[in-house]
Parts: sequence; structure tokens; C-alpha cells
Amino acid sequence: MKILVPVKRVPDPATTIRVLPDGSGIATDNVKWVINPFDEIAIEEALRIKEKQGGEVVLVAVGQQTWQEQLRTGLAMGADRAILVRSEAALDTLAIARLLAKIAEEQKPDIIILGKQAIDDDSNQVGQMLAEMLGWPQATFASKVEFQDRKCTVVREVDGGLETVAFDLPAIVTTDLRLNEPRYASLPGIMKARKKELKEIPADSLGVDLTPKLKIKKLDPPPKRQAGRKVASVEELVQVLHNEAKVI
Amino acid sequence: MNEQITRPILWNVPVPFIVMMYGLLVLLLAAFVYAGWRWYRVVSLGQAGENRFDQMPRRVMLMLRDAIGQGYVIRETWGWMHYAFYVSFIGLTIGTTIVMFNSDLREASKFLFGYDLYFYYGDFYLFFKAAMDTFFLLLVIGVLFEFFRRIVRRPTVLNSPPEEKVIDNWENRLGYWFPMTLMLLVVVTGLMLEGARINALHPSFTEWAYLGRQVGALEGALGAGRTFHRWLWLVHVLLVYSLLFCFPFTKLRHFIFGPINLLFRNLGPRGRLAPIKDFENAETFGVSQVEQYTWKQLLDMSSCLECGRCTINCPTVNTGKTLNPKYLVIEQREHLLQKAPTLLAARAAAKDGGEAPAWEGPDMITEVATEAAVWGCTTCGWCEEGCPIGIEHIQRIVDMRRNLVLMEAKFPQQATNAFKGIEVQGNPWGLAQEKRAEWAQGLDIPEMAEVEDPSSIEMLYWVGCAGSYDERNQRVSRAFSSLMKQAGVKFAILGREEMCTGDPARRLGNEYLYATVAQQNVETLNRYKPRRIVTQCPHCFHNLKNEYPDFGGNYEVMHEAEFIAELIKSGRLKPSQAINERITYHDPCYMARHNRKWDGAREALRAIPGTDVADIDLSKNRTFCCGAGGGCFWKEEHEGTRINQKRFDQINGAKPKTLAVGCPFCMTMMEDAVKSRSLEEEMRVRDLAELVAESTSTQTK
Repeated sequence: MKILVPVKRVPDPATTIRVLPDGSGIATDNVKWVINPFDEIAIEEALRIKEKQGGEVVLVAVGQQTWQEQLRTGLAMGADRAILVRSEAALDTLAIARLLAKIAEEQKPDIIILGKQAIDDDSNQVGQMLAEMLGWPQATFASKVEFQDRKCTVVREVDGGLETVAFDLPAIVTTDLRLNEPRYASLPGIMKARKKELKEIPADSLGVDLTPKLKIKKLDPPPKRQAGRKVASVEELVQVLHNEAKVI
Repeated sequence: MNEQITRPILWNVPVPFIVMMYGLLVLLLAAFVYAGWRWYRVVSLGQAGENRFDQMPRRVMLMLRDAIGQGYVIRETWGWMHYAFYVSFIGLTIGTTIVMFNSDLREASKFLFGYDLYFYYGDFYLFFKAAMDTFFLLLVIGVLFEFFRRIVRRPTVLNSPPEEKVIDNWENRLGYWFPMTLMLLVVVTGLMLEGARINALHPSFTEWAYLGRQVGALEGALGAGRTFHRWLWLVHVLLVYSLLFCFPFTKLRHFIFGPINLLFRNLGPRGRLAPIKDFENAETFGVSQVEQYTWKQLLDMSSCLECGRCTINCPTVNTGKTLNPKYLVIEQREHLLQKAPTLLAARAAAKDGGEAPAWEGPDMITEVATEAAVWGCTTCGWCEEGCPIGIEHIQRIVDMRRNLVLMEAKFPQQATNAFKGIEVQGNPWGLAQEKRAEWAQGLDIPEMAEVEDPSSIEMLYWVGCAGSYDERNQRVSRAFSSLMKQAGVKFAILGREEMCTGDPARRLGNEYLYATVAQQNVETLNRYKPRRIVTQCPHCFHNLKNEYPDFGGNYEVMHEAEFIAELIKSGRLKPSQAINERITYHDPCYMARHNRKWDGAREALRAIPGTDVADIDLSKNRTFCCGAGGGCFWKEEHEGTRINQKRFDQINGAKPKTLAVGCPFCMTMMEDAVKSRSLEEEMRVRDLAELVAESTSTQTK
């Protein structure tokens, strides 16, 4: 089975995010970059499928040269090769989905597995858009993925429970947190990853409309946390919650 | 004087008996050569490893000190028992040699040099007799106590690994009971022999042979004569040879293996792990096959005499976990012996171009050692402290971890977070690197990068991850900094340039990650060339001092305890506020055991007015692990009972008001233990720096 795994480079969750003074973006000095944790789960799932039934795991990322780092990490985990669609500008979800669709048409994977969302902008859109563009079935928020020939069964995490869906390949699956525990790369894996194929393709060579449909106007940091204050009685607490905090 | 004070040698012994005696001696020597060759072949299956043939004069001196002196043996209860029959056996062997000198060699000497080599008479003879009888006595007492211990007392340290992991061979079948019984019989028949001769010849100077004459009188009363003596001689000689043949072939071979193993012991810093030199070209990392160990590690296995001293204060053995260093080393030896024929055949095949046989027996890590054992070790070092013959347990265990981590990426799930944290953020908590110096905000502590002239800095304070990120231990960092400020120490920190030393990664077997961070840290440190470094974490201390030299970093490193003691001694710090409390100091393994430093902490605590510093038995180099070392802090403790509670209960025996620690991880473990025993009201846990700071602070408590 050929599996395509789109990967995004995001700030490490432990990093404190600071918004630039003009609100145009975040300060990237001191930021440590990692593979989007949900994408890491996607890589792990792809590798498990490959280990069970053979095939190929291809990583794809849309970004700058520095993104090679994260692709190499994925290759060290065990992916076979990687494609980096080079784009110096930050693209919106629609453009990313278009590029990925193009790559998918070229690579003809049996299944595309990706994170349900990236932890930086939390858009949760690329998987769904990709499914629409390719006209493939999709199963988002997967917590269990199983195959029977060309049939795939996915258990989805939905509000208040689990939903099981079944569909034919090719298809899109987006991963949720409980799907698996991503592996740690072995040393021979790290060594081998250095020699694995990592192909770069310029984004504008794919003949895709990259004009942003989404414009980020301004980023604002969350307000600083205020010190708490003690109230004298339950009555006062109710008053304060109702009148000041307006939560009840 | 018409009667010479001596005895006829080989009196009443017919010639065929004598011929047989020397024939057996030749056979015995051949047996030693054969056994030696066989073991040499087994040990030679190992890899070269680090040089153990350096500093030979020192090696020999230390070997003699610990083999003949038996220092490590006597240290434990019952050790004197071994010493009794060890000394007696050697004494009796020397005695026999002296007799040989005065008989056969006397003839040879006369023939070759015309010199009469004969001193077996007169005062020397009398002294000799008394000494031999004393050795007889000591040996009998020693052996009887040994039997009492093994048959009646049966201490758990003498337990053996499960039967299925032990080979069914003569060495194991005969165990220790056979050679011990022989030893007893040899001595008893020897004494009877002396008695029988005295009884037959009636010399007038028997009072020195104070045991032999009593036995002789008894034998005489029972009607023993020359014939009895003659046959007794034969029985005695055959028993002696049976015993001597035990040396190459039974567990008594530790008599020879012990000293050899001591000769090649680790002379480097205790607790230091050997680095992997070449990541680029090696095909495998760590050890999964027994032959991937170094020859010294195979010698360790071969030499283990199964005394169980490694288990006495082992944290895992004492809390009911799988890992038992004694079992592990025995199981690995048995595995080695089982696999050796296959390996030797493979070696021969490699030479002659034949077909190498494949090993079809159990897998060393998963089936012989088991992964539970491999991951159990806290690397506290007790096993190596206890071992009387210098067996190195920690490296052997970490080698298996290295294989599991680097080759298979198979390790306790929780360790992943620590690895990734160190990889991405430079600390095992995985907290933001940029927040590393947040604990120092507002304290006006310079960072090295801001200091114009780094050489003006008297002391580089290596805070460590716990001191930087863990809320409880940040308080220690602040206390320690305030002490240095009060003392006027010109110090600085590295701030965001500091990274985890890599200790958890290294002890958990992730040597690749360790090498990466160690190189980065060494690079940073070498840029500033610090005059001295002080750490509050013993693990940082150990890595900076003993392990970074392998990565090109050589520094003068101190632990806070030593430095605070130095500041107090030189009068720069003056503890004045009394702390009228009983304080018990829990020695961290990586200071006390691995680095032999325990005085500083006590000096510092005693310098505080009013303190009653009470040590418990298991302190200093005999300290008991808190359970956090060896990367165990970063994984769950599933098996058995909790190590930190065991340790806490030991300390609680001294009923201190304050439990003092000198390690951030001991701090966490001990605080958890106090809470789990619901004793927060009765006892507090404080770092010694906090206590000294309490005493030097200008405010009253």
C-alpha cells in the first residue's frame, strides 16, 4: 500500500509564543521546531500499516528549506522518501490543499493520512479540502484504522462517543490523539534517513493557484492573567460572576 | 641433646604412595593448564574494549591488597569467617611447601649446589607446629560457621537464580558444599595424621602441637598404630588432591579468578560509562549478543563467586523487583557458557572458511536477562561497591539499554518524553529552553554571555535542569545563589546556554543523544574556560567531572556541599541562626558512592549552630538509593514496593526533624515519600543549601 503523509513544521508545544509588536506574526527566535504532533501520529500509523502489509510511506511538506529537518525526522522514523514543495511565503490552507492534491495526483497513493489539525493555527481544514478536491472519501479524527483488502474501517472520535465508518480506498484519514504513540527513531534509522531521497519541488512549478483566500489581519496575544481575588460570601460570588464576569 | 627437635618427613609412607603423590601433582598441574585454557577461550570471545593492561604496577598492588587483604570480604558480616579459612588455607599450603623444601628440594639442592636446604627443626619447627595447629583450628571453625550459615541461616543473599537459567554441570552440582566438605575432611585427617605420628613416635616436645597431641592421645587409646597411620596418610593425600582439583573445576576457582578479575578492574572514575566512539561506521550499538561484551565483562561473569554482596543494599532487590545483579551476572555467565561452543565453532569456521553454526538458544536480553531487569537499574552503584572482586555491573546493564534504545527504539514509553525534551528543549521535562533562567529573575545573577571578561568569574554555577525548572528545586537554586552572594563569590550562570548534561539519556542508554548534548555543552564551556564549576545536582557533577573528559571537556568541578563547606571554613560564610534540630543527611549515590564525597555536607550542617547531625548505618558510601538514578526518575516504577519509601523508612529510624538532601532528585523522591507516609507534620525535607541559608539569613525563623 502506498501511503502519503503530509507533514507540517510547528513550534514545539512547550515554547512560549510571543506575538510580534505589530501583530503581523509570531517571534521565531528561540522557537524550537518539531513535526506537528498530529502529523507524527499520522506517520506512525502509516509505518504500522506498512509494517503489516508492505508498501511505501511518502512524506510531503509545503514550506521552506528548514522544513527538511522535520522531513528527515520522519524519514528516521521509517518513512521511505520525502517531497518538499518549496514555498518561501506562508500559504493558506486552501493553497496547501491544492498543492497536496496535485502531489497526490502525481504520486497516486492508496491512502493519505495526516494530522486532524496543526497545533499552530489549529485550522483543521486541509484534510477535508483535500478529500473534496480529490473526490475521495474521508474519515477525520481517527482513533482506530483497520483494513480489509481495499476496504478501510475507521473509528472516529466524535462529541460524546465513537463513530465507526467504512469506505473504499483511496481515501483520506486525519488522525486524532489516541490513535497511537509515535515511535522514537532508532540510530540506524537516523543514519539511513540521511541517505533517503528528499526531493524538492518549487511550489509555483505545479501550476496551482496560490493566491491566498485568507488574510491574517492581526495577531493579538491573550490578555495577561489577572491576579485572583477573594470574595466574602457566596452571595457576593454570584453577584461578581453575574455582573462582572458575565458567566452566569 | 640427643633427640633433635624435628620430625621425619614421609615417615612410614611406602614408596608407591609417594610415587602416586607426585604423579597426581603432575596431573593437577595439567588440570590447571587445561581449565585455564578453556576459560581463556571463553573470555577471549569478548571485544577489546578499553585498555586494562595499563598501570600494571598499581594494578598488581591493588590486587594484592584486596585479594590477600580481603578488605571487601571482611566488610560484611560473616566476612571474617571467609577470612579465617582463607588465611588458614594459605597458611597450610605454605606449610606444605616448607615441608617440601625440606625434603625433596633438600636433596635436589644438595645435589645441584652442595647446599643443605634444611631448616625444619628446632625453634622454627616448634613454631611451625603451633602455627599449623592454629590454622587447622581456624579453618575448622570457619568452615563450620560457613555450613551453619548456608544450611541453617540461609540468608537471601545466597539465593540462586531460577533453576532453568542455570546449567546442569559439575560446577553447579558440586556448588560450595562439596569443596567445603573436602576442606573440612582434609583438615580433620591432617590433624589425625599428626596425632597418629605423635602417638607412634612419642617425641618429647609435643606441647607445641597442641591439637595434634590431644588427637594422638585419643587415637592411641583407641589402639591406632603404624598401619593406621599409613592408610590414613593415603586417605589424607587423596582428599588433599580432591580438594586441589576443586580449584580449577568447581566454584573454588574464584580463588584464582577473583585476583585476576581484581587485577583488571576499572581504575577510572567510579560510575563512569564508556562512550561509543564511532557512531558513523559502527553497525551495531550496545550489546544484544553476549559476545559483543568486552573480554573484561566476560571475565566478570566468569569470575562471579556468587557471594551475593551486590544484592545487600541493591534498591531493586530490596523492593522486590526483577533485577538482581547477582542473578543477572550468573545468568549471563551460564548463557555465555552455553553459547561458547557455537561461538568458538563460528570463529574456527571464519578462519577455515567453513560454515558457521547459528545460535538457536535463548536471546540474551529478552530471555536471559529480561527487559524488566535491564530497565530496573538505578545505577546507584551499590553492586559495584559491594563486590569483593571488582565486577562491573552498571556498564553491562547500560550496554543492553543502549542496544534496546539505539537499535530497536524499544524502551519504557515514558522515557520518550525525557528524550524528546532533551532533544528539542535541552531538558528532560521538555519545558521551554528560553525559560531556563526564569528562576533567577530579579536576583541579579549575571549570565556568562553578558560577562565581559569570563576569566574574572570565580565560579560558574551549573544550575542543572531540576534547579532551573522544578519549582521545589528552584528554591534550592535561589538559596544556594544567596549563599554565594553573601559570601561575596563572583559567580555567573550559563542561562539559556546551559543544557541538560545528558545524564538521563546516557543512563537510559540513549548514547547518541548524550553525545550530542555533551558535545554542545563542552563547546559552550570551553568557550568560557570556567575556573571552577559548582553544581547542585550530583548527576551534573558526575557528568561534568568524570564523563565530559571523554568529550574534550576537562573542568574543576565541585558539588554545592563541598563549596559551602569551603566557604564556611574560610570564614566567608557564617551560619549564625541556630537550628535546634536533629538532621539526617541522605547521601546521594553520585556523590558519596561514585565520587567518595560525603564530608562537605556534614561539615556544612554541623557548622550550623544547634544542629544534631545524626547518621544512619546506611550512609556515606553505603547509602541507599532514593530510586531516581539511572534515568528511573523519568519512568514509572511498576514492580514491587517503592524504593523511595524504603529509603525514607531507613532514615526515619533515626527520627530526624529534618531530612537533608544534596540532590534535586533525592529531594523529589524524599518529599514524595514523606507525603506517602503522611509525615509532613513531623518531618521536613531540605536541601543542605537551604538549611545553611536559613542559618545565615538575617531574619529570624
